[in-house]
Amino acid sequence: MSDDVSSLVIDSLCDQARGQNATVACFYFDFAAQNEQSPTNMLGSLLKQLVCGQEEIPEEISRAYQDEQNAIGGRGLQLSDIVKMLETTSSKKPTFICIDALDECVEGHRVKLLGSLNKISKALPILEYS
Amino acid sequence: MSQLFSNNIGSLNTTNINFTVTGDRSNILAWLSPLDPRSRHKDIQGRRVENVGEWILQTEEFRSWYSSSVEGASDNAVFFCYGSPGVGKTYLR
Repeated sequence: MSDDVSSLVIDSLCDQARGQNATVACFYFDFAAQNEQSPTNMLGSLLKQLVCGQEEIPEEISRAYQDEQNAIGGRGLQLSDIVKMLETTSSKKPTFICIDALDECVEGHRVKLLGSLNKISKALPILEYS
Repeated sequence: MSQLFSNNIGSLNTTNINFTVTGDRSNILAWLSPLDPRSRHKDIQGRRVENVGEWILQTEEFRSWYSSSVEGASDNAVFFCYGSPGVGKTYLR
């Protein structure tokens, strides 16, 4: 599928979501950006988009941020932390996740990513393009 | 005089609180991820050809995925679209 079709679908979902009190998050994989598109960064960016649309940052997230700031050295945001936060945030209202060019994601990353999305998707719809 | 003073303190505190909250919000968002897929979306959105690809929104597969999703049916949560390289994906650009 081309970028155009997924971009079109994302816009269409956004339009429809407005009337349904739903949120939409998207992600475009890119061969050229494989290093920075780690599962943690990718899922973190989905979470960021979902949180952006809310008036207040969920307490679970701001508390995790504060804990991280107070920790010496900070262990950094872990994949499991993000998955948990995504599960909570996406369960609050209908959430659409659109992912483009899954084939451009590094294979090792893809396994982790799909495993995480599988957990999250128990409660929400996902649109994937390869 | 003391009334005036305490009023001023009040407004000063309020300003500080607002400032901190706004700062924290953008710090937290940046902490969640350095990536910003919305800018890529905007870029592609601008290069899209009107009415091309609309067909996908009309397919039975898309419609049933969308409607069951809105109703919260999780057994139909994933809609997977695929195409081999060279079948015309780029053509749609």
